[in-house]
Amino acid sequence: MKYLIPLWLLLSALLVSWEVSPEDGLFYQPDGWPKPSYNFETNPISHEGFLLGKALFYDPLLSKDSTVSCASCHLQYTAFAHVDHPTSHGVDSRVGKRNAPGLMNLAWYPYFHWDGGVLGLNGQAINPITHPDEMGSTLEDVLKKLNRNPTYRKAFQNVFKTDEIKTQHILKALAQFTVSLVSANSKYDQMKRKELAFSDQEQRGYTLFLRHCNQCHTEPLFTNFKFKSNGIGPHPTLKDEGRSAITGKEKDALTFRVPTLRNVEHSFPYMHDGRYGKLKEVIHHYATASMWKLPVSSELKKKNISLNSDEEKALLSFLKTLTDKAFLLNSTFGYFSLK
Amino acid sequence: MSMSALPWELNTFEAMKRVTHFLFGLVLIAPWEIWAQLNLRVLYRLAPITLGKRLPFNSNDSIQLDQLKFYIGTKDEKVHFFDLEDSLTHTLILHQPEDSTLLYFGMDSLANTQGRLDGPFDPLLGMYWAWNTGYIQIKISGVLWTSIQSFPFEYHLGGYRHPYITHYQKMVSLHNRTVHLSLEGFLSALPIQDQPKIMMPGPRAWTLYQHFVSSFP
Ligand code: HEC
Ligand code: HEC
Repeated sequence: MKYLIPLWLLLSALLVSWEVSPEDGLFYQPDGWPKPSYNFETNPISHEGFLLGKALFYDPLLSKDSTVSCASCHLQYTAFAHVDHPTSHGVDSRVGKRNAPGLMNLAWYPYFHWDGGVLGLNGQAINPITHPDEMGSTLEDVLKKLNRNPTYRKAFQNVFKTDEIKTQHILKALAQFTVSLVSANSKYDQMKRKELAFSDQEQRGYTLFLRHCNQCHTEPLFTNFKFKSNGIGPHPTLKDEGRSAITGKEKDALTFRVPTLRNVEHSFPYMHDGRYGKLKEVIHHYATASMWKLPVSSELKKKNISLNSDEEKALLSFLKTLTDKAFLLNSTFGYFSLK
Repeated sequence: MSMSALPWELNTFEAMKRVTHFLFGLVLIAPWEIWAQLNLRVLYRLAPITLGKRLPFNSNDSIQLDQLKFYIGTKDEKVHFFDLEDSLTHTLILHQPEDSTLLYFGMDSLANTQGRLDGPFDPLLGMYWAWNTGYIQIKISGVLWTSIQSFPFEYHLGGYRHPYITHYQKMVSLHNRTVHLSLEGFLSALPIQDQPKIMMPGPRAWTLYQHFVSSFP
């Protein structure tokens, strides 16, 4: 009941005329969270639009040889991240340069990708569709396939009142699905809402987190969306310069967007290049300042963190409270195709 | 009487009325439509340039353009997509006829980033920079042949981050509602032999873009 009120306020503000609840899968605004960055006016979310976007997300038709769908790299159970491979691979088994991040709470993201090069969620999907290492297709090809398909034509007609499916319609439909992936019901959230209490260990971990990590992985989204270096150093073979590839500025070299830690227990492997397979290893990296390679952002350098193994365990148990099972198992986000 | 009646099914009066309407429409609308246009012609050594055709270049070389696309605008159509391959894109909207007019080159950061993905902003046109959100302001590609070897080249120029912003306004002179863009200077400025590809914003893209803008009279 508690989050139905802000939900209703938001939805009436958006002039959306039906009622939804988190269980419907559509976007909602959790209590006490900041205002979303996504401009809903440019793409009003509807139930039909969400379903169409979901069907596209799970449809390999979007790839060159109809073998790879968005879900090939963004699996629900791993918080829509890619498991197994440090960096994601797509058509022709090509291996990409970066680890596929989890997809959740995207409505609050001011920009996308590890280097923040992509400025809007609507335009983001052009990247995987046309990237030779991902789906390797072209917009012309995808538009042709969709416009030939009577089921899709009907669905697009229904949602966007259009006889011809155009680029913007595909992108907006996909965004209606991805922007609705809100994860805000973890044990941490329930603790914040005073529905339950943390164990002693989790509480100790939370205190350590606030002291050492929250400055970058800031509540409630668990990222401040800034570009930082956390001391893992450059990858030995992948030449990924990070943010500076976008800005052209020396000072941004080897910085990456701080990732969210929500559902982090499930979104392995970790870091932009997927170099750590286990959360324990990540925590151990932070626990031992002497291991940090250059560059390291000043927030971390100043902290000079040193944790004993008890503290590492506490931090790990706190990070696990960010797991939102209701989100990971929500069947409204699962496989779907239009009949 | 239905609107779809064919001329020979009409009585004389109705037919006369149609003809009068048609003539009236011609007087009212047609010249206005022509007056509201600005034509853009791309020339090379005073002749219209054609894609895929080998042209003499410098003293002993030759050059061929395979693609030329760019954004340009008037005060009545701020962002217009021009594609040499598609003659429908060779006219822009411009209401007031004058000897010279203000043209817009490229687009500002808002237009680059607002996320409109339709009309001239449709990524289908091949001008959208997917991995680094924004629009390529000019895309030019082709081949240069010297006496020794051939050099394929491709330039995607643009950028809206300070200080390398490819967005300009300039007064340009018109002849019969037509702007003549002569490409010699711009083609000679391309560093084809030492940097045949520039695909991202930065100082070099910015400098070349200025050469492009100064090719306009
Ligand atoms: C071959 C694997 C692959 C496929 C297929 C794929 N993605 Fe991704 N996705 C990635 C990778 C890798 C990144 C990170 C890219 C980067 O940072 O440069 C990413 C990033 C994203 C992001 C940005 C997330 C963030 O945190 O900034 C979104 C949104 C997204 N993908 C949606 C989609 C959609 C929608 C599709 C289907 C049209 C799709 N992806 C298909 C691998 C893939
Ligand atoms: C200076 C800012 C900063 C601080 C402080 C910081 N991190 Fe990070 N963290 C980052 C950045 C940046 C990355 C991504 C680095 C990369 O991929 O190159 C990251 C990545 C991670 C990841 C991997 C997430 C994923 O999905 O790949 C985890 C887990 C993590 N940090 C946990 C922590 C913990 C625990 C702390 C406190 C001990 C902490 N971080 C403190 C900036 C920071």
